[in-house]
Amino acid sequence: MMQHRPQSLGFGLGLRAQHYREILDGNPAVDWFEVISENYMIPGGQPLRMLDAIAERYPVVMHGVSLSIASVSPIDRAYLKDLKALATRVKPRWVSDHLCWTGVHGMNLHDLLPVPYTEEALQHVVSRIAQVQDYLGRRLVIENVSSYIEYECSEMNEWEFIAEVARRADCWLLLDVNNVFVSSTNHAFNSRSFLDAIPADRVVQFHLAGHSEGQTCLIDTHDQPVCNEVWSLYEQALQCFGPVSTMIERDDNIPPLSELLEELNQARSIAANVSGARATS
Amino acid sequence: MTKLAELQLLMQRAIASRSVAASGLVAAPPVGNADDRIAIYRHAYVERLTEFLLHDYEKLRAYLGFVRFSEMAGRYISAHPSDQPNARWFSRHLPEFLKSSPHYRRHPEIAELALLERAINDAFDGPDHPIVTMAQLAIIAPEDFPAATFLIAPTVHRFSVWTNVASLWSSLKCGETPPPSEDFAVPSEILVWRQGVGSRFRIVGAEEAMAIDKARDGLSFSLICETIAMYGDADTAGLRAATYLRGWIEAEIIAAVQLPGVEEK
Repeated sequence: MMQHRPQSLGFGLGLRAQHYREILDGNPAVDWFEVISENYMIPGGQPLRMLDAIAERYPVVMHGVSLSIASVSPIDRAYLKDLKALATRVKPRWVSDHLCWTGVHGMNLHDLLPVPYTEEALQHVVSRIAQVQDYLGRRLVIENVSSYIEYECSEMNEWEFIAEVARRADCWLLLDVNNVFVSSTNHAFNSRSFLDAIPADRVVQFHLAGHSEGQTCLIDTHDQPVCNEVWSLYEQALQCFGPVSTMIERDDNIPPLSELLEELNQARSIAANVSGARATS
Repeated sequence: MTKLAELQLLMQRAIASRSVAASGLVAAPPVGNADDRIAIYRHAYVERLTEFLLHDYEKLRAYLGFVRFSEMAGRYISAHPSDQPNARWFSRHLPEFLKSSPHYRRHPEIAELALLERAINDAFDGPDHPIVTMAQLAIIAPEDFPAATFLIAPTVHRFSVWTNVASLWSSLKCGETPPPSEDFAVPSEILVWRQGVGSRFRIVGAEEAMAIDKARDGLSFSLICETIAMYGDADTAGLRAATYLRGWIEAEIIAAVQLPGVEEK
């Protein structure tokens, strides 16, 4: 029987090295931090010391970029071992990675490549998530990626695929609101259809991020503030899924912490309005 | 091969090797065409790996300039596609690549600058280790000291360079125009280590370099003294060895002292 999804952690930020000192000196009003797992899957030194110090004060979740859950290459056991060791050290509330593949035949492209939405891929991904969950001894959180292509061979929509992955693999979901917006623009689908298809009881985290405009499509660069359209979609996501741990994900062109805190306050404000409207309706 | 396996292989080739065989796999997008969309991934692949190199080799980027660095990055990416899930290790082959590449072989300071930067990076996030203090050393009985061996911290890197790479690095760090590169007739010995949370490096004399190498090989203090005695004045060899040891302890590069039949100090 499925467990209840974890309670919302509130409003968090991605932990970035540029902000270590400010966080430790100022204890900013951030409810939790998300850390990029691979940044701390290193032998030792200052990054791990900083992480230890921040994990003592704030709830932390781990977010990976290289699990390559959909790759046909064998699961990288050394990587999993390091991931589990980090989770033992950090004691994260959960561990997430992306519904994607990053390379095959021993090569890593360091990109979050989309999966064809086929029954074959579905069975493959579900089987791999089960293996990883067994090894880690915890339920994984799987995130939707943004994409620039769709495969000819796909047999279902992305949202149908994700919902089925969550159901069959019994995993949680991380809904990246910006990724839904980017992909819906790039592939001309209705982002609301995406939200409506995702099982609410599986969603444990939201990502909010910025993107850039390419020549013929949007590019998921995470180097800009969250745009109005994504804020609007976030509001719809809150209406669909209720209070969910929300964070601003900024990976490049990192601004001062104060700017991210302002964005986080905007998320708080939107969530409060949605919550208030739900309470009075 | 399954359809999924074939798709991933063709897509990977399209992204990393510019193969066009994947075009038929991709549906026509609402705007633009499939090849343009695949090209976004291709462009991102090179850009991302170049960013990894820029992150790990800031001084080299300053030395070469962005255009030459990007050209070098393209060559490295082709020669050493990433084979690790963690981007931290992608750049690890760069010093050897630069040393052996025909494009850079005539400028050995380029490979040596990369070697120095890699050692500094490796020291920064290398394994944590205990640190032996002078107080711990002081409690060793004088009669036990000759047999003492020393565990050198795993964050220590020792190597020889044949160019003025240390001066180049220091100038680049200060944002100054680096001096002209120089080739040395005899090597300069470099010691890189982690002290506190930061990496450091310095040029050490040939005798001290030899002493630390011998210590790392597990030679006892008395054998290190004997080796030092062959370098210079034999009468002061013990004093010189003790001076080096004190410096290493103050620099936090001794992780343990081992005495025969005694647990690590």
